[in-house]
Amino acid sequence: MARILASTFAGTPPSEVVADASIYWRALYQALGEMAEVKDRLTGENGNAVTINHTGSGRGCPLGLAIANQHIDARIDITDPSPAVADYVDVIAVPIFVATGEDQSWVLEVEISDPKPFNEGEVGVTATLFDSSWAAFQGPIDGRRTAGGIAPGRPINDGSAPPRTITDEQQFNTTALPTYSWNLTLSAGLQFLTVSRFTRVLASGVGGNDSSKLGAWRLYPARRQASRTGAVPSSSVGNNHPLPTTFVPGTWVEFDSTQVEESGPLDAYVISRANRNINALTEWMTGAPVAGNASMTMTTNRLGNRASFTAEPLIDLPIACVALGSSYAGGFKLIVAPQTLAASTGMLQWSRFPVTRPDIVTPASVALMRCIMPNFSTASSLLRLTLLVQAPGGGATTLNDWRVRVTAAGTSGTFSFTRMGATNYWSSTITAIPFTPGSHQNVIVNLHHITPAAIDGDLIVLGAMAYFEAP
Amino acid sequence: MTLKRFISSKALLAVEATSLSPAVADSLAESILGRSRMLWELATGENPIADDEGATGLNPQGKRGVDRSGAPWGTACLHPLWTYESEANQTSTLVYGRTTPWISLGEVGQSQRRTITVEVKPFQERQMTPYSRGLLQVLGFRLGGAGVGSATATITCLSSDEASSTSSTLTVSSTALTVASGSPFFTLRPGINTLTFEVKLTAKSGVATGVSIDVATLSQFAVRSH
Repeated sequence: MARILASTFAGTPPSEVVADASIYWRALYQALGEMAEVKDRLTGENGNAVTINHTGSGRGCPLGLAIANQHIDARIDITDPSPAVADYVDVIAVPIFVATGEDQSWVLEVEISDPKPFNEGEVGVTATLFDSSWAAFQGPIDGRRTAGGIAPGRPINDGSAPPRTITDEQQFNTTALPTYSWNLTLSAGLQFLTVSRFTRVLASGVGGNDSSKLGAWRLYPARRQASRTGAVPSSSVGNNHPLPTTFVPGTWVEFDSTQVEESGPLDAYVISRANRNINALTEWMTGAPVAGNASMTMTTNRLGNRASFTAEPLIDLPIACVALGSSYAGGFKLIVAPQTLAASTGMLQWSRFPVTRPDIVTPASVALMRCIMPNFSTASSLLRLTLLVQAPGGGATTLNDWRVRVTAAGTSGTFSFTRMGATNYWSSTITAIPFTPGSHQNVIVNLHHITPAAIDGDLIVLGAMAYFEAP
Repeated sequence: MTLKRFISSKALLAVEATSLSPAVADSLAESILGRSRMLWELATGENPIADDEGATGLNPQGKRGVDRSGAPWGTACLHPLWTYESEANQTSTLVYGRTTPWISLGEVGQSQRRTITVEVKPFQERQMTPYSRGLLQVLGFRLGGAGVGSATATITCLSSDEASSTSSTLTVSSTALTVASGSPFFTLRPGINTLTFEVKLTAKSGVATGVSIDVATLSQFAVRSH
């Protein structure tokens, strides 16, 4: 005796199933096996390794969720730097986690004031992708100015003679910031993205400081829409053979090879239970009624919570990616004597960092996001958060004494930072963050310093991404 | 193109699955043999018969298989669609950062609107599908020093038809971040959505000098329907 299972699909030739055709035992046997295989892949039961985890290539259609949809609305003024900045400053620097199977073309859009008019002729806004050792593997790539706003210094076409030009402040005050966009090919897994803008501070009294704004940014898959409305065909009329109200191991009927044999009887039990199995699997997987039924019968969903099927496959899922501040790779410090004094220079409205590091012996919050959590399994939580920071003091600075932890439904363990390559960028990935399925919660990033008397590096918080990463 | 393998979505009717009902070849075929093909394709996202026509239509992404964008393309996963993150209510003096509140109201009757942009994954546009609604949740705190007092604000999601707008109420009696009660939502469409909401201060008392909104999120909050 053996459980009927078909690890590959063979299907049934149409000629075997027309009206008045003989009912071939092998066709029924194969279909029952295919049904069982689909169920095993969806539930992870019976040790099936080819589970449906939405990674593509036969493992289920990728979900195609956006990585980032963040509203920032911050001024990116630079206050009295010394020396004066006239270079590209990273206004967005974030870790990004790309789900397996989503290594494709992505669209990056950033709403940001145009660079200063003296920079006309250059795009002035670029994007660069880095790997985990901070080796640039794409870019810098010029953005394409695709929408919104009027560049400072450019004529306004309102019939004035001579033509008027828009000022920085006028652009700042408009809600329609220009949008710069890119098409980026992302790899699966964790990587880092920076968006840099040409920035220069005008001398005080000669036009004032750079009066610019960072509005919002988005990162989402380059879409190709269905050319025809997809639908699961529906041909039944009438009430279907009753469904079970739940899809759990107890409502699934397994079939043995002795139940479908050559020259054996056509077993009504096999037919009716196989029909119920497929009905149940259809509703559980699609979330839609079985064709011909007006409404759902089943009350259980395919969620990944392992409540019914303990081996149900877990999936990658982006939660939130947020930019938290700016950096300048050239070594320009955005802060002055941070151990003893309040910050006074730099991109102060768009930077975040501990001011008096020796006092931060108990964790202090540096970021707070509100997130709804999926109904995923909480056992061995797969919720992670990667935090990107910069040691603006330069490459010789160490951040070895800094620690980070995340509080959501509970508090995670405490993690240290790892320097990326020979740069002054450091990151930390906090794993196994407690969460409550199906619930909104605050996701709070906390930093502290373990040896407050030590001379350890300054730290600027740049960006964070929370995500589920399946094993 | 020749159909190499049989496809069907037809389930056995109750009358066909009762005792003593006749076994009809094409009914059995349709309910079991044909549907196993469709299940396979929806689950794996691939047409298992390479040179055959697909058994199912393309999903809203233009791909094959269930992509969890709502029925019939699978139960959705709850997740945030849009984020406004802030530390402006950070009371610690140990962390420097932006301290200007996103929305701050001081006079009763005063209101401010914010327009946000969010990209939503493709979904089949029907009522009651999970991605057709985005739940707006905001957190705010009371302005004013220590003491007894509270401020109340109404947060309203404005659609193109303002008569169908929905709202929540934020009542804050301390400087701690507080979640607005209620479930205001936007009606969403696939792709880029430009959405506007309004915050209006409706009352204040005691030491309260106003209200500040500092954290907000828009969420996909239904698995199958609303």
